Amino acid sequence: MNNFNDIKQLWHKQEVTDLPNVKAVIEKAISFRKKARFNIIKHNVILTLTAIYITFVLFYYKPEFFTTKLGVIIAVIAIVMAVIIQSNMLQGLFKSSSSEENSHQYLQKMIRYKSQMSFFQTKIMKAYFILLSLGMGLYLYEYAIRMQWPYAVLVYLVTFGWIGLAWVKFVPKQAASISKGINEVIEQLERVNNQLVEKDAVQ
Amino acid sequence: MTFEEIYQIYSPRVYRLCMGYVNDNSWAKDITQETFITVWQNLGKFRQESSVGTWIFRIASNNCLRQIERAKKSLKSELPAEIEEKFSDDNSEQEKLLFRFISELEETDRLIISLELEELPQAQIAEIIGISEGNVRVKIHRIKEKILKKFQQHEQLQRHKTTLA
Repeated sequence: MNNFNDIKQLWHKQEVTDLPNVKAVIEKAISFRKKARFNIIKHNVILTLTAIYITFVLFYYKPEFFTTKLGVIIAVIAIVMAVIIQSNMLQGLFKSSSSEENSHQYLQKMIRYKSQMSFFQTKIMKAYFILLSLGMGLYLYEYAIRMQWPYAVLVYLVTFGWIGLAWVKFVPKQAASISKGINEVIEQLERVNNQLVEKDAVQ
Repeated sequence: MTFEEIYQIYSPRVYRLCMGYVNDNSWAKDITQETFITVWQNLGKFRQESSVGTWIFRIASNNCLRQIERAKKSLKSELPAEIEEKFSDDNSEQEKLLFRFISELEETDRLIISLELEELPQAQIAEIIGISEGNVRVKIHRIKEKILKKFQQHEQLQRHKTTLA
């Protein structure tokens, strides 16, 4: 193998026989589109059911205090946020199209999106816990005030004890695992991006 | 140009590009399929600012780079050379070596040399990768040298083994 033409010939000798036929590719593309539509519908159904649930709780139990109503709404907002994080909605929002940019721009965009995603996921998760605690606290107030004080204290202690435990133990663990996964990808993307940047500077 | 015609012309070329990048037959087929799904989804939006070929190779190159996210799946180039050589017959050994040597290069170099081997003009390669044409020229020159050197080293090693035997 002494010259590059031999290598070129070798390259074109590579047999490409068992690629899927065009029909199979189109069918797969259509099924992807259907799946994406189903996901949007699924999320809309979850959000609608949540809205119906809030209305039901507020009308059926007719809480007297404004704090109770506010508590339910805040807790539900927190749950909706959790649903959004659990689903891949955020990823869809940050997804970059591979058809519009050259590789250099695509890599830079992916690095930016991954950093934003890591930031948003961590912040939204913290906001979820804060809102959930606030919502629960407000919701319980109306019922706690009608209890004898030792019971009321006990209910608040158990509720906030559990949320506190989650905040101290589970939140940092989950945040770290999200960041670790994304940071590893960012590191790789930056390494590949530098293959193009460094040589540009030399030119 | 219909999607069917595009697929007919470009799918083997895209597959070779992906093979150069990952050196894994089924993985390369997956990326080829992903690429043509994107082509199918965006064909209506394609604005003809560049040629269809440039557009398709751009999607394919970006899809290859996106494989970085699939970090758990390791590249075949990381396998010891002996294992692969055991399974190769004489005719395809050189082919397998070529794809192995390409997949041992840096990620962007793999794309550049695969596009060069697909005989794309250097201006088009520059447009796909997003670097200057001059830079593409320099890189291609260096990569060609690297691959030839790898082949020569391999041949020397084989000769040495035969002499010892």
